[in-house]
Amino acid sequence: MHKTTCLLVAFLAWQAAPFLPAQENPAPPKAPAETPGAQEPKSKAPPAPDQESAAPEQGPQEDRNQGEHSRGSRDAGKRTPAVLDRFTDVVATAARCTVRVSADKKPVALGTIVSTHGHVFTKASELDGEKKLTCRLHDGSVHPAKLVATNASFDVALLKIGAEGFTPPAWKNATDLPAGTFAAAPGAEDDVMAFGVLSLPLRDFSQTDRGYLGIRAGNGDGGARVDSVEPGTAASKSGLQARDIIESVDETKIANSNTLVRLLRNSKPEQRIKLGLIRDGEAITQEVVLGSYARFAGRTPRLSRNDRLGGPLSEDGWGYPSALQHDLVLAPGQCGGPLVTLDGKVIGINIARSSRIRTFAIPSEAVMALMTELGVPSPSESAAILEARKTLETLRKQLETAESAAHKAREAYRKAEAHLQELEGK
Amino acid sequence: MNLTHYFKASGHPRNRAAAGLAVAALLSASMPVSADGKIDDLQQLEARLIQTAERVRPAVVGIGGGSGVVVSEDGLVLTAGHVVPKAGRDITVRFLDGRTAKARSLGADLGRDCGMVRIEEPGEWPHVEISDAKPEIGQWVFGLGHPSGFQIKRGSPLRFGQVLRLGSYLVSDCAITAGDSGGPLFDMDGKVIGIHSSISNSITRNNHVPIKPFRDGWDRMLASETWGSRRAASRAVMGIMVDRQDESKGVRIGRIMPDSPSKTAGLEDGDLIVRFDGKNTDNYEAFYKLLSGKNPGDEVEVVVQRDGKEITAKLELAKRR
Repeated sequence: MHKTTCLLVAFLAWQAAPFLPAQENPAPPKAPAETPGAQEPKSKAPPAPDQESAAPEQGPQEDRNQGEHSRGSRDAGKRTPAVLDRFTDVVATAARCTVRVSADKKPVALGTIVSTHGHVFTKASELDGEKKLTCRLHDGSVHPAKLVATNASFDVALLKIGAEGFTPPAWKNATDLPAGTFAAAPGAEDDVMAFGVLSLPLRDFSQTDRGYLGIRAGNGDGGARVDSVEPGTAASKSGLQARDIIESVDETKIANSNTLVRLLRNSKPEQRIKLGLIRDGEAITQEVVLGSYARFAGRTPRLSRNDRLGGPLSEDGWGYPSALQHDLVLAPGQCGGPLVTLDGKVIGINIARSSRIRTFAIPSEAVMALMTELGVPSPSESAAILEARKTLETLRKQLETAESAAHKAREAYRKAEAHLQELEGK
Repeated sequence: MNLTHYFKASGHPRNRAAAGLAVAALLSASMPVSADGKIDDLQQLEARLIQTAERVRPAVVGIGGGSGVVVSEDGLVLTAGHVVPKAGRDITVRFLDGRTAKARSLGADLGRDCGMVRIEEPGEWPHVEISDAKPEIGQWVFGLGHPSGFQIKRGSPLRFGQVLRLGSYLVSDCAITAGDSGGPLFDMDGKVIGIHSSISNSITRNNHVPIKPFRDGWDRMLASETWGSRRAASRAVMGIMVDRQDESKGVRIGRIMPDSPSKTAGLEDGDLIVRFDGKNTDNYEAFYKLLSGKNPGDEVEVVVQRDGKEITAKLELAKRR
């Protein structure tokens, strides 16, 4: 039984309420290694039966005759209508950009309309790729949606619905917003789903992030030997296999796995590298586009049992290159919609319910960059497109009119010509 | 923010940001304000939260795998009893500005989950005030701490909510988790009104120790006395281990202890207690409440469900060992 379980059992054995154990000292940061290391196991401590004497969640003194009884109110709390209703006006505009995404008629996530042309951002991992996607709009209409592109680092999917004329969100930068900034999330039906605050200022890991290959390697004959390839990583996508020997990286010969690790430590996500491999005795060159270390190495969040209490968590909930951490309580299926501040502006798109105490949103700065990357026209481009369409329509009408006039003129000319010939023929 | 390397090179310099701002400026003409000025209240509350949290945050320290809060300039620290269950231990207190200080655990009331620590290094430590005012249900409060352990680069995440219940615990909907133990719950003046202690499955069940038990045990804790126990909660026992994970309507016996009243009365592992002393026990809390009112030696009738049948047993409750 590993350490986490022992700690929890020790507490649970005498305490009914899942206590907050003084966390064991957090594990030292994983050596940034592509070399062998024990994969962090997902902490899933089996719950222990509790002694009846253990104090229930009300606390040890709750039921003694000390004249103090627990008083509470169902009307208190930030998830009650009394509080949420205060944000109805705040989210009203953003609510019109909020859609419900369904796969085979089953709601799976929310989405945010990001262009006049019906481009929608949503949470990629909540979509069941094969199924038929639809978006239910604020006005109640349901439109088929096509999956256009995804970005794995942010777990974002771009959908396109066949409707036009939307007002995209009023974006606001999230960079300088302090912890405590109020935020609300509209649902798909003019409701205020949740209210909370930014728990931390925007965290941007992109500066310190580095490239990630996704292998476990040891020392091999003349280089680094691939022991295993992690699924879904750059290594697996490029076809690297166990037993491959990596001899060189970008023409630089590597002596052993330590050299490989050192080279990778200085790389960047999305960087292209050329690997010189020996596979089954044959020399091969393999190009690899590196992934993000922050995103993929940190894939398994070290969630304690306490972190998992209080509601379902998104399966994909960790490691985004930049993220706003807030305390709005959202279900995984309520992610994908906009996050709104008191001035009605949208500072991000909610992307994951990560633990009991935290929900992540992609900041608007990153959303803008994603729009560029995935081919969504910017507002000015949209304006240009609409203008060009208007011009085309005007000219088409003019052309139609001109062609009709030309046709009439030709007719008149032929008639006149025929008449003249008649006269000359006499 | 340099995110370009997360995206394939697109090759088009697009003046996206400027255009976005232009559109935003147009759309922001309509700032939502409701007739009774509610938005102003929210803006004031927000400003107060931001400023107060920033002011008090430096006093929120890491103690081992938990948290604490400094309440005097010379370094008296309040924390949870279970963070420092043994007095007289040398510990290190960590501050968010990178400083660490040698400290010593003082006493603890383990029954109420109060604990104290004293920083031994001389200095003018960032600290906060304690509120002795009676908290009110519905009052706005905020929590700080070090969930999942002290992480200096991350800082201390802020959680905002309201007081939901008062009693032996102050219960709020500021979500807390492992690592937050011992950290402070603040009122909107930035005074400590609670110390994080425990949670339950519900997201709105976050238990904070109120200030009163700290005040009651203050001198004893300062004198490094440790007393109390969470076990001491119920005096009379049936001799069972309860399976809290079972979701049936009733109380599921996980295991019967040998030589116990339950064993003597013929109860078995897996029995579902549905009535205790003539009253329904739909859940553990209801059962526990009834049990706590009993004394060793009391005779009670217990009704359990076993294999679809209801069985009544008479027990003589025993003394906790």
